[in-house]
Amino acid sequence: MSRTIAIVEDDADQRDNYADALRGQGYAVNTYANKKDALDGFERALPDLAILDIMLEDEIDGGFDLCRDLRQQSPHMPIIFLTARDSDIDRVSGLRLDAWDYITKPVNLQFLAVRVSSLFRIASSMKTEAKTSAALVLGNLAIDQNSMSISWKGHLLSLTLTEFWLIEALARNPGHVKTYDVLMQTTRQSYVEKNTINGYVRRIRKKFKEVDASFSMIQTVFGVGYRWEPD
Amino acid sequence: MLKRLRTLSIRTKLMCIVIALLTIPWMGYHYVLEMKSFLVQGQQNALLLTANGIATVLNDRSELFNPATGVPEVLGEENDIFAHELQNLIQLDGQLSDWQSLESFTSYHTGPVNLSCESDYNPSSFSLKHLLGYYENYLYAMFEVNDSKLLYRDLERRQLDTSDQIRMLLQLSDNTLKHYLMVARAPGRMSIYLVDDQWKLPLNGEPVTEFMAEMAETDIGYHIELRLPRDVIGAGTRIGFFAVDVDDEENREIHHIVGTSPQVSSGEPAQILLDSPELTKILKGLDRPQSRIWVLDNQQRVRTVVGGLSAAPPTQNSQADEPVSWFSETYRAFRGHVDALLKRPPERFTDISEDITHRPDKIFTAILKGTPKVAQRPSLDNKAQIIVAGYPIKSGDEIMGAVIVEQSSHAILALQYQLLRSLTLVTILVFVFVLLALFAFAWRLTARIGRLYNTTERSITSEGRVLEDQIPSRTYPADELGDLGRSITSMLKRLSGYTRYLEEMPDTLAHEMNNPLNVVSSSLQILQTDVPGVQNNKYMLRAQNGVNRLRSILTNLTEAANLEEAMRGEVKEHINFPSLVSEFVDGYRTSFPNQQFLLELDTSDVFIEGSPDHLAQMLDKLIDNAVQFSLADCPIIVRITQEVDMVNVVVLNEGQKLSENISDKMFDPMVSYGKTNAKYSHLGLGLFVVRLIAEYHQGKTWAENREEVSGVAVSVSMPIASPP
Repeated sequence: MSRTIAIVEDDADQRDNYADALRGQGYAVNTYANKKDALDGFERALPDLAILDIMLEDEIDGGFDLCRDLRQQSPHMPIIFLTARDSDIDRVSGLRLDAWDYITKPVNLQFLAVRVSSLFRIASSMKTEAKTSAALVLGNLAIDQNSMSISWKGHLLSLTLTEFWLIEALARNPGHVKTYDVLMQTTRQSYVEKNTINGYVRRIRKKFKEVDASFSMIQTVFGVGYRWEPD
Repeated sequence: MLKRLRTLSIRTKLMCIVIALLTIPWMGYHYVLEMKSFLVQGQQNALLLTANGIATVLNDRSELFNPATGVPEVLGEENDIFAHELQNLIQLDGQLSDWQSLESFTSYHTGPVNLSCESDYNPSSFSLKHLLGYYENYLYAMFEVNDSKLLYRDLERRQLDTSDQIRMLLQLSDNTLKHYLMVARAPGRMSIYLVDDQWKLPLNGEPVTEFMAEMAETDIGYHIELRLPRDVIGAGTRIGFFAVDVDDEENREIHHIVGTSPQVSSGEPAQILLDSPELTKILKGLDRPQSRIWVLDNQQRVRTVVGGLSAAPPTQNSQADEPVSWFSETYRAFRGHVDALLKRPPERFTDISEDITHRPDKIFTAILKGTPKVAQRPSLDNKAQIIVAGYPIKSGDEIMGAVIVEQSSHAILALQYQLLRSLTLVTILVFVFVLLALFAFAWRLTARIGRLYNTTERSITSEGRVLEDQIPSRTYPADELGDLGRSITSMLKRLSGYTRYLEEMPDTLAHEMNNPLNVVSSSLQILQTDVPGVQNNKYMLRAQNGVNRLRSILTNLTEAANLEEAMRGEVKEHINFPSLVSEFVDGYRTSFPNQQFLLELDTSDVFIEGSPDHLAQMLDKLIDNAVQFSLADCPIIVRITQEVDMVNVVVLNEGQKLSENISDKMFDPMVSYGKTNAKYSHLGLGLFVVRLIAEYHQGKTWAENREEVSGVAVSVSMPIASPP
């Protein structure tokens, strides 16, 4: 039985485009235009994954409300915010509500599919209490490819997919400079500026420093990109 | 001038207006002067009226001016002899008992008044007591001579100046001098001769009979009584008496001469004041305080004078017993200054003495021609002004004389002085009060305006961003300034609303445009996968390119707004700025392979407190800007210089120059300059981002044209932090 994805998006064209793209990947897709419809739908059957816009018709934070609601019903459901709202505050609020990813528009539909499949992989690995075989250990850093989780000195970091991918890309080749272009590819987003990369790295550093104040493994190579310090 | 007036502050202007208040005391001063002249005028009129009144009383009474009724008065400078009215007839017998009524007026004369006198003069050996009186038609003279040795006339000797004698000098009105000499051979009737001017020989052998003199011996000398008919003494007659003492019986030389006045004895007979007693009596009743009434005859000779000019006695309340405090001290000093300023009238002045017998003043000449006159003249010592009013006295058509009334204007001056002083004091008090009040008002007003100005200035940034949309209203009461404050508040509110709308606009716009853009973008992607062969279609590629550019524009639009938000939570790090920049320039060489970069480091190891990400962003924008406007094949120079406590990064490119009007606006949002490559989006936000980041680092930005080549140098200056 194919997995069900719920898309809540007030713009019909976008909603249909997402739905078409994901259906093309073999998922079952339910679309909703507003919070009320979505809640009704979720009452009938919970989806396996939800893609939420934040602003829904006349409700500015409708997506956040839905996320909170879904999280109550299913603590492990992958939730993706897909929104035009690009501010750090929105990002932080979304992730604080335990959303698994936060993607800003415009989105690359192929990348969206990649993310969705990745998140399903993480979800299933969490369910099956995955073996640690896929883990890559680099000094204090442990990367679990299956659950797409990273821990630093034994502390599990709460990361979005993009952040996971960026850390993985940097840490896989310590000492090598990853240019902005490479890192932009890594985010699997349709359009990324240098600044967006800087923003991601800033947030990643913050997350590491939350568990280890002396963290300084990610070095800026000014004007070029970033690199993971070799041990 | 007008221009300079306009540049004055409100405070200064108000002070100028206060100075305009000085016209009030000026007006007061003029009012007092006017009043003074009015009062003087009044006084003059009053004096003229008085003169007129007196003249009216004296009109048609020519007998008052009749010389026959005159009584001569022998005047010296000090020892005047007045002729007084006798109560009884004088018996010419040498006995002085019938002079008792006038005894108190007796004058006493001593002294060598003639140079021929010997120096061993002793007053006890020769002195003279003298009295002059009149009764009915006769004038009487009494001489009480103290002479140690009495010597009678020796008939053997022809010269008359060889015995004790009385000489009488008479100067008639036609200036002819007559010398009379009285000698006695024995006590009793004396012989009176008209003699030559040497007092030696009689002009004719016969003695004068119209005068009579009687002599009597006493223990210490002799007495003489003399009778003159009054009609001999006409107007303008001068008279003088001398007692001559001859002591040596052998050579009969004159030992002493004592005169009734020094003038007389020096050969100049004193003018006789023709006192008109009735005139004096009449005038006594008209006497006014502090005024003097003269009656002149038509020869301008003084016939009588009544009263005297004296200044009003100063009635200053003594404040000596007042406790001496700084206030009273100050007040006294202050009053002293005011007194000096207002020319306090002197307390005393001196004027023509009442003793003079002749008033030749021009004004009297005019009055005696028949015109009443009023004039003012200074006193003798020039300290006071005297008002003189004159009125002719007529008898029929003939002018007999004139009444002159004099009064000093001292009283008016004193009044004027007092008025001026109180006016000055009040003015100064009012002026000081008004000055203080206006100063306080001006101070408060300008302080309020200044506060309003400062608050307004502070409430809006130079870019027009409203920081504070509320002018504290409690400081602005319900007057025009309060209205202005409230109006500014409402203006700021509207402005801030509009600014907020403008600030939110890029974000809203980006958000609104993102959705359709996303539709286009996702549709293109589906098209690529669903429609075979379209993937590398050039139109498909162009459409995707366009979508990307649109996306870039939207990102830029939101970048500036998001930047401030992002920086707010940023923790600053210690950064080695030159090394950061040099790493950067290395990076740019990779990013822009076709562009040459030159790095000029004047300094190394300069640390700043900052956020490396944002500094990177700032440099990106600077380089982007330089690349965008740089001519091909021209290097972009990145220069780091140190300036005391600031580190500067200057990015120089060659190309189009800045126009004057844009250079100070370049760092404002949505300002772009010059021709740019159409491939780049140029919303003019790049340098705005540079400025935001520089300001976040307490730095500043500026742009200028390069001097050596055509091009632009954009500089950012940031404070240096102490090394860790």
